[in-house]
Amino acid sequence: MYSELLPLARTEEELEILKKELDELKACLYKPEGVYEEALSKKVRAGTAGVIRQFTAQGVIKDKAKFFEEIGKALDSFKTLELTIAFEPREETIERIWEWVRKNVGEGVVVKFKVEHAIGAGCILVYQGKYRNYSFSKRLKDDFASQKQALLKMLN
Amino acid sequence: MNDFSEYLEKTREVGTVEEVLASIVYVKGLPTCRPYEVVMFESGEIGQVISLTPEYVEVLLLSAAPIMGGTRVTRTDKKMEVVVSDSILGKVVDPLGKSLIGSLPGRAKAEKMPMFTTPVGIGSRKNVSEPLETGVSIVDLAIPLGKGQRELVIGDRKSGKTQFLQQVVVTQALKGAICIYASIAKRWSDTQKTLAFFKKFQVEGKVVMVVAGPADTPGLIFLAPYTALTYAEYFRDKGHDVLLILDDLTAHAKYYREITLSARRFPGRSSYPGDIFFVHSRLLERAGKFTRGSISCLPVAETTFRDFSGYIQTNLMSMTDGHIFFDGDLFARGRRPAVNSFLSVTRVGLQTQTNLVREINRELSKFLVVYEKMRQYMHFGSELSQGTRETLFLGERITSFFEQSEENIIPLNINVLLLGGIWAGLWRDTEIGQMKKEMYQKIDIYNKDASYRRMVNKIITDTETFAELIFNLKEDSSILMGKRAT
Repeated sequence: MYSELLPLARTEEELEILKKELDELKACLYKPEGVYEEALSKKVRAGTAGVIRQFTAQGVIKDKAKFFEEIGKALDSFKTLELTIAFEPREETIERIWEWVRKNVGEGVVVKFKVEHAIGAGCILVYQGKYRNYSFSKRLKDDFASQKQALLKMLN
Repeated sequence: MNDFSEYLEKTREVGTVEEVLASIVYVKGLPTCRPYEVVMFESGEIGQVISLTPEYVEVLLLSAAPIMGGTRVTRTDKKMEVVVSDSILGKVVDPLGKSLIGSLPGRAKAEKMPMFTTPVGIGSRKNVSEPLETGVSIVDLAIPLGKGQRELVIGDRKSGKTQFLQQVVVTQALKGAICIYASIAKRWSDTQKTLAFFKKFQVEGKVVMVVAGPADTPGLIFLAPYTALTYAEYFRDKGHDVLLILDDLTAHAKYYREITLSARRFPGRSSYPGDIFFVHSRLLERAGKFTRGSISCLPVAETTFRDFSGYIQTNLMSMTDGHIFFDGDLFARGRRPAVNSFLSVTRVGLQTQTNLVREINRELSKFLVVYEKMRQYMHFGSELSQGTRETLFLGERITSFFEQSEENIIPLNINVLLLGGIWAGLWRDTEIGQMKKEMYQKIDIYNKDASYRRMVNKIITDTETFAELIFNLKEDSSILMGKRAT
């Protein structure tokens, strides 16, 4: 419905920021004229302001209060995909992962990045209570466990 | 239990703690979790799933350590289990099977049994047909019990219930039964006293104590009787006769009420949850007499000011095969044990007794009612008729005979013989104090001297009726009076 807003909430942190920005704008609705416009230019990110202005120009926002209420509910229903990786993700990595999640998992899903160097490589995914460990450390552990006898034989 | 990450890798499901309400934890996640499943927290604590909602998994915390919001939780794909083996005998354990005193020996041969099971069906059950000796004179004669019977022990606090239970445990342990004692929400000092009592009689090796004190979590206290029953079932399956003491279930109900109120369940009568009857009945239904072995269960219920019409008390009465009422008033008057035989009931105990004991029970019950009526005329003294005076005289002696300290265990056969002796008037001219002294001497001889024991047992086995016993004792009292009579 408001798919233009989705790129602004790719990660859990970005979702929180977007929620705060929308709350800020909502709070300005009943203040003197000009306060809302001022908030739109100064208190929210340029990307967010751009999308809101675009919605206004296209006539998507007929009733501002209703719009903010609806969008707030939609953002609250977003699901979180927890992704544990072994490195700090760069902007292009975040973008790439988010695009993949959007295509394969669906819209309305934000990524929560967790960095854990101990996993070595690969990732651990947690989505709606399901846990999948595709990390290098797990692979290594499994391999050692299955080939323990052979390895001990080699060492001896 | 293995560690958190092992279970996480195995079940591949994780949740996070959203809310902690006393001993109830609300967890988000764990999509295929089942009711009663054990879950493990990241910190190593465990909990049991008590209900599921579309958003949350409601978990009953079983560890005392605090759980923080955001803590990860994983499934274990297991229901509550108890590690059982013969080596558990003589141990004091908590409801999760961890030893509270000393360490548990190696559990190489240990097996696991589910804590919550469906009671065994009627096909594997038998009639209660063997007597269960308690070692307490008044109970063995006036309210006799049978193996596999569920008899409620009810009474005010500090009315001698625990002392009675200890005597029963000692009697049964000495007879070779396995005894499981669940100490539910009792002070540690009281539990230690009970343990010391068993040690004094050297029966601790036949007893397993499952202890959950008031300092434990309500979840752990809730599990205590189920753990005890699981141990009982393990020994029953091996063909043993098991005595199970649940001391006490009113405290158990209170802790269950605390749990359910924390979990925002709708409160029913006296704020207890609607399923409190089910909780206790599914527990007691697992006891009984089986084709192989038996579980005799003595649950305890506490009353307030002799009022046994309370919710939990009446529930328990309806689930059991009778009750022994410990009267606070009798206790205050110095009667030990303070058993009120008029308000006590045994539904299946009598059918297990010999003809002789059944007849004694009948005679005794009739006599005690008459004696109780006559007692109000006592103050008339010499103006009373000869018959009334005889009744009062005998009643006084019988009541005094039933006075028994917790240190004394009276075997059934000598018990029957001594009562027969009183009834036959063997101690008619003896002071009550002297009579009791002589009686305890006979009990002591019975316990120590095998040939005397054989003689007494033979007399009791060969005697069919109470009248015959009285007649024989009047004819030849040497078995009780010894040299004194000759």
